[in-house]
Amino acid sequence: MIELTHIEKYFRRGLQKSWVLRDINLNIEAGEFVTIMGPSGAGKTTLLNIIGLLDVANNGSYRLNAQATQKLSERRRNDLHKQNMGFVFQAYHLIDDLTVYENIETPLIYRNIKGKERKAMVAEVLDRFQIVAKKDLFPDQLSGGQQQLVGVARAIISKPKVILADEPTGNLHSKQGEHIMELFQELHREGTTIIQVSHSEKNAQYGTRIVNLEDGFVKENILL
Amino acid sequence: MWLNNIKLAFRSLWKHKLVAGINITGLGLGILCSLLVIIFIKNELSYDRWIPDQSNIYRLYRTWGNGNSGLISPVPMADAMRDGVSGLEAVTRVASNTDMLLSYQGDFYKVPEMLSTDEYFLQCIPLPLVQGNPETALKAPNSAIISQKLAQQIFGSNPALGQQLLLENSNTITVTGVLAPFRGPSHLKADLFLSELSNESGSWTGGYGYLYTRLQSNVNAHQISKDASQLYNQAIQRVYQEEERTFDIAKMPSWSLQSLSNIHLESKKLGVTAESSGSFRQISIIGLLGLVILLLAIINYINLATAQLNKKSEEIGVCSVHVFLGLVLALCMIPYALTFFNEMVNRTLMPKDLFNAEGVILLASLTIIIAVLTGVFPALYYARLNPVDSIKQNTKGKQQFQFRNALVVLQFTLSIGTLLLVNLVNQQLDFMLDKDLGFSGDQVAVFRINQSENVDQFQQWKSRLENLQGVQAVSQLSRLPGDYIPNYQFRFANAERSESVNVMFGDEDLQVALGIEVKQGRYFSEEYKRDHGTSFVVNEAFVKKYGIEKPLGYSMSFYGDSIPAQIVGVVKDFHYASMEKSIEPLVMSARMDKAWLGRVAVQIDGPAIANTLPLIQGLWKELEHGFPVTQYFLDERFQKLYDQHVRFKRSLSYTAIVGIFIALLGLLGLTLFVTQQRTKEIGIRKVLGASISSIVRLLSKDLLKLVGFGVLIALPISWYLLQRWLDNFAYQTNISWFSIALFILLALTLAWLTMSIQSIRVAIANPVESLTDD
Repeated sequence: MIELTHIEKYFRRGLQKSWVLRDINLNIEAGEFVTIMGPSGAGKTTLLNIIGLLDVANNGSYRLNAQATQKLSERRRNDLHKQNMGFVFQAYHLIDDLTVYENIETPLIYRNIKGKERKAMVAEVLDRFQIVAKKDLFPDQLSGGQQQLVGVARAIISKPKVILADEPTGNLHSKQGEHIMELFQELHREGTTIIQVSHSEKNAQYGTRIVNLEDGFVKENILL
Repeated sequence: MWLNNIKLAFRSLWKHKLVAGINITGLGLGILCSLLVIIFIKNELSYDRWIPDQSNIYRLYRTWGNGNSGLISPVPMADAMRDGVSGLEAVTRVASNTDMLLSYQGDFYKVPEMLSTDEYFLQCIPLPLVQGNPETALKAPNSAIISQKLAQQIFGSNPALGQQLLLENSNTITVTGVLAPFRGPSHLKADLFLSELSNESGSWTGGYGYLYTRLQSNVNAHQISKDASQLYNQAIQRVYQEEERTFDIAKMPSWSLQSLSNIHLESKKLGVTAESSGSFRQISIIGLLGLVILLLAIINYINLATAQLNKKSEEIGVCSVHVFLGLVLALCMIPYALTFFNEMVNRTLMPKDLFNAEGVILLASLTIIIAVLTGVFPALYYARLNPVDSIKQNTKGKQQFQFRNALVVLQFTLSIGTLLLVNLVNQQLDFMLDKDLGFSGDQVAVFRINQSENVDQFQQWKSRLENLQGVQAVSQLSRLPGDYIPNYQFRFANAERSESVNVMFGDEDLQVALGIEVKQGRYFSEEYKRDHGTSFVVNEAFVKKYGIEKPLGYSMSFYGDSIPAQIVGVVKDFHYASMEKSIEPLVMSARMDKAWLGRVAVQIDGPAIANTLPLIQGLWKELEHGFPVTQYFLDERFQKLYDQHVRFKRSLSYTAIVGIFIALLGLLGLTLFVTQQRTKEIGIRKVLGASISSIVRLLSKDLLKLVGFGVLIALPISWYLLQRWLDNFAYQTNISWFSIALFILLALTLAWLTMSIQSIRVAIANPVESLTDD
């Protein structure tokens, strides 16, 4: 499903290139649950952003569902991103001015889904995550765990094929973290492809494969 | 240390070129406006204060019981005061004359303003001379002192003293003094002061000229005004006794003294309508405008500075560099700005007016105040911020946000309001300039007859003019549309009623030459020789106002005229005065002895104008040998009636441009602030699938709402103000909503473009960057 070949990413600092990803070759099949691990600065988040079509590699090829993404226009890339990807962040990144309900609804608005249908879809997710009672609260009225729950709810509401999670439990207590990971496991069982960045071996155990990055190279590829 | 700071400041300036440019321009504009205001107010307050001993010099005026005031004084009063009031250094009479013609050795010079005065003038108002003896200069009748400018113009480098000039082709006058250039502005604007009022005779009940007096030091002005009133009352009482009229002291005006330094600012209430005279009201309005613009500029600056808070460079050093560069910008702009500003306030202010000790002190203190304001507020803002909050970038700046919102609404209300007014005033002006006046002025050239014997002989020359190729009609007349038309007292049918009506005198060709339409009866004609004395033509307004049922044959006559006369025709109403007033009754008379028929109107065939004019001018030189040909086009002169309104429109336009510019700066500041506050949100939304256009829409929507709100407030206010202004006009335009809508659309487009610059930049930014900060 995801085919990365010779992916390179660098930033220009004056005349010098500062490398983030050197030569990434990575295939991820649909239905996998992959954990990207590695020390700080190894390029984990950048890799995740490239996979999520938020960022573009400088060199190499990225084929998503056998379609080359390198030369797509901003608009086409945005469409592809909308159709396939759901994002979960370490800092939740909910919109402070919107209620829980509105936060979850937002991705649907950008996918031009009709009001009635939106209502049904949001209600279903709220119900599933057992946060119906919280739907009119604002993010700062929720605990971290609850906020991340909303974050996951928002990521899956549009039924993406891939969920990309950047240290989703990094800001949470272990108890809350476990709850989120169980949720991912459940989504994985239902067939969603999940790619997460994590420092935690324990979280990695929920997945099916570990990819170890170091200095911009894939160092290890461990199937669990 | 501070050198280092400045170096850092310039570096940061370079790094944030756009914002720095906006900041500096905005501040520069604010400073520029306040500099203009400083120059203006300084100038207004300095009128006549440079004249030696000015604190003892006064002008007399009288006030009647009903509150009306007047400056004209009876002719004998000056002599009477000299003899009968103690404590006076000098008393002088001054009367103003405009558009005088001087000639010297065959060359003509126009003197726009001349003051007739008497031998005491320089004792009373000691204007310094560069040539001549102030003690004796105006002693002899027809001796004159002239300005250095005029002396240079006429005599060049040759000596002026003792030279003889011909005034209005009749009086020989002798130059006995040359004025030193005025050291400041003065209400005495003349280039020529002529001694011709000494020993003039006149009655106590009439009046001619203004009265100035210079008091001995330590004399109480109040006492003098009491003495003057008493002297006047006694004189009037004597006159009334001789005429056997009853004298009622309660009906007598009381006399007051107005100090020389007050004349410029406090003469409007005395009936002085000259646009060049000032008022405290004008000073306060312009001062307030300047202050508001400066404040808006400073507030915008502070807003922009604090909106940039995540760019840590904003320090006091940067602010002072901004202020300094703003000041430099303002100083560079002053010469250009003054040309517009002068037009607005009708002055001739110069940049050098700012650069004297007083001006530099004001300038320095202004700069320091601005530097402190712009430096201290952002600094306080940073100091108050919780460091953790500022790093975490939360969106809870609500209160401040609302203040910023209100500011943008206010700025747009003001600037769009002014813009709307410009548009509406323009509509009325266009309406007045385009409206059919009832006469055809565009092909009528008007000439002035210079000598009285030529006025009498003109009818014999007329045919020579008429025979020129391209000339369609020629008429000799007294006044033309657009001139002041004097009124005369008439006795109506059976002497039962008398009215004072405006009168235009002219020969029988006036109607054809001006293209006026006859409604009833006929115009004067050569066939009816009697017309010259015994016929009148009136306009429709006359018939209507006096309710005359059968105007033709209606008998009326000049008051005190024994010749009976009647109306022979009615002409269609034409606009002979500004459209501020509705058309008043008008009588046209062909009596050649009653008035000075010093003008000639020549109607020329349109396409032939370029060829015909030189022919007429050539013939004119022949008729009036040695005189300059004075000629203008009737329509151009008529449009001068609206000069004041055209100036008003221009002032409004400049204000609107400055206002819009400042409002856009404010909007840009708010956009910067909002986008910076919402960077994270925008990043999130993009990750959730938002397109660029939806982000731009999201950002612009709220801001456009503010602008729209400003428009909504501005509409009724400018509507109300316009109605008040339109009350000045008897003929009002139908307001075109289409052009108003166009103006609003223009303002909204400008606002939208301003916002787009920033919001598009944020919308296309990679969301990854805004989300990885944590």
